[in-house]
Amino acid sequence: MTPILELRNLTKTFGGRGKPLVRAVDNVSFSIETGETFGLLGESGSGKSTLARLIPRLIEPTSGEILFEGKPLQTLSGREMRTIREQIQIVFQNPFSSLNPRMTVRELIGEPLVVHKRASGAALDEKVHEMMRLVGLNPEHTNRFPHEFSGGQRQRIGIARAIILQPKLLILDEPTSALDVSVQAQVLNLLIELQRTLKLTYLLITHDLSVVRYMCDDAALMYLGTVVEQGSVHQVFTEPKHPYTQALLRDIPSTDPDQHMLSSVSLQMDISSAPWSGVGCRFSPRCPAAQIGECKTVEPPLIEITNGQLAACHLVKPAVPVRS
Amino acid sequence: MSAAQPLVEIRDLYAEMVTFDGVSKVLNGVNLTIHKGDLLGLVGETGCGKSVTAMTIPRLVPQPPARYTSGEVWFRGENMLSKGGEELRHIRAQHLGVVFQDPMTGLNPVFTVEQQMVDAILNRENHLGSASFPRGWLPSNRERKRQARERAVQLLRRVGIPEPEKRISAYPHQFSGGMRQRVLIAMAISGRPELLIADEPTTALDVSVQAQILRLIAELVREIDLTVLLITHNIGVVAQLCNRIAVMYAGNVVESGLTRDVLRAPKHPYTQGLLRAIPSEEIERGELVGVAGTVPSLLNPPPGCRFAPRCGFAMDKCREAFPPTVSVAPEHDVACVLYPEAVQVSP
Repeated sequence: MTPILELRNLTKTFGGRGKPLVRAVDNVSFSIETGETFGLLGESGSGKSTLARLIPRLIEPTSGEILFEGKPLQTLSGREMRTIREQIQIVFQNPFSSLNPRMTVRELIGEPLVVHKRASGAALDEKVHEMMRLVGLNPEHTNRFPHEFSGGQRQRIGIARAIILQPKLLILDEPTSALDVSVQAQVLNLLIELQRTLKLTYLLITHDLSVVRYMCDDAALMYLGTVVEQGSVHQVFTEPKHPYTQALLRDIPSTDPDQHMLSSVSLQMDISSAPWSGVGCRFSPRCPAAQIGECKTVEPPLIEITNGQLAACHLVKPAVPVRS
Repeated sequence: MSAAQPLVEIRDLYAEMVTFDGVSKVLNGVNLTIHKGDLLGLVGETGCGKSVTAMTIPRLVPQPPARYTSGEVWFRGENMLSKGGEELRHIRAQHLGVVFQDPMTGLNPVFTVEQQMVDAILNRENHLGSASFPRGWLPSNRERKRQARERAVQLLRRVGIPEPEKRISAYPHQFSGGMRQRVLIAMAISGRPELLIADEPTTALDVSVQAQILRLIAELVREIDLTVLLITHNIGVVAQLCNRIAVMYAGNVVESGLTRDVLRAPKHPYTQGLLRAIPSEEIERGELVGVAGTVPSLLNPPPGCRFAPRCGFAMDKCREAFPPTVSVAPEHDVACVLYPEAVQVSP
């Protein structure tokens, strides 16, 4: 079966021509199967939000290919792209700034239908009410403004806006990072329920490892624009191969007071201050394991380590298949 | 009551905020005790009053809109609610350090780190007078500035800024989020305070940087005899860093005690719900249980226990009066009617 989304060597650079060249997304390839939830993990500055915006061509990639249901998106005309965008929708991170404060809930949720000329008048109102019920909002509140809602409710408005065109792929860019945990649980469960009823495919972008562990089937971890580890959630969380994944998993503060996270060693520096010279492994300046010369001179390719689990690290060698 | 006098004691504090929509009853009888050497984690969700409670100690809550209607706030044996002006500034300069949440806005973008740190150090000296210098010897302003700079460099080195002599003359935007937070911590401890109040110090940071900052705070506590009040909504951070925890909901401390006791055997239905809402290894997809409903409006809070409308155990008496705080175990206090009043803590 063709995957619903496939990225091939996708690259986006900013700057250049006298300004420093930033490789925000660098040679990223992965594919998402229909109906699954794919988690894209990374610290701030790793390029994950840029990637989210590249997929529906909200920004144009520098090179590489985006295939949606097998169709290469870059070759499409503006008109064709608009029809494709009905099927690829984004829920943005901040429910406080991503909703226009001067629009009512009816206008906000109904806007995609108006833009794509899919409904008007009573049919539009009917559809808006249906969406509000679906995401757990009271349809009587359709004339209210965003400021009259709590953060969780605002995120529900954002979700309703994204699903009203009945998309196939929903890109969720940090959908719960601005919410409190009790509300986060409600929103995550809503997303799971919507996925079941509407047969949606999710690309979930977040820096929160525990959200990915809870929500996703497969996951990829980005570092400075490139994928360093990829595999099923089970593989990545129980047998992380890349030193970066291992370090991040150690650094999630557990609610169990007997796990002594602070007594273990963690990464030095942070993603934006670690000086990567442009050659070798980009994680090597922070890597506790980077010992061998290769780490400083050769960029490690993303290769398969064990069935379906990929890592980009010189220190992790593929398992040799046992002959029987 | 332990033998030693607590460093901070907040008793039955009520506060309101005057807003355009009406009077918001922000604090509803808060009780909180911090002993010297404690690392207390004050947890709760957005708008539960944790920052207002903590910032009342250095009296950094602007009045208006805030007003305190009753209660007492004792810090080092002095009632902070009756302090003002020079006296208040003196206490702040000598004994208190504050680290604010957002490392992006905590520093002034148009001044170098050096200017800001030297300013803070000199300002503190001015408030404390010349007591810090040998009798009869007052250094020139230039000499004082040089000493302040030296001290700032030392502090930056201590909090883990590489090449502090060089980096001190950089502007805030030239630092990453984690490094800015380190600078803010350096400024907060520059006066060797007894109490450090850290308001969500790691919320804006990535997990690996968060771990670095938490480790730094733990080291400082050991090194310079610091007592810490850490405000956070992340229970994991408290579990890893703090020896004590206090859980707030809608203007009340609903449960408090030793971190291990409270997290191992949470008693208040809200604490239990909060812990169940955190995705963890054992929880399967779709099986996470949030706390149903939303935080009540404090303009018109529900009568009695403010958690009652969201509580699965709520009974009639919950809606009549706020439940008294009872001890369910030594040093483990809960404000909930589910626990017998026989062991009620004397106020």
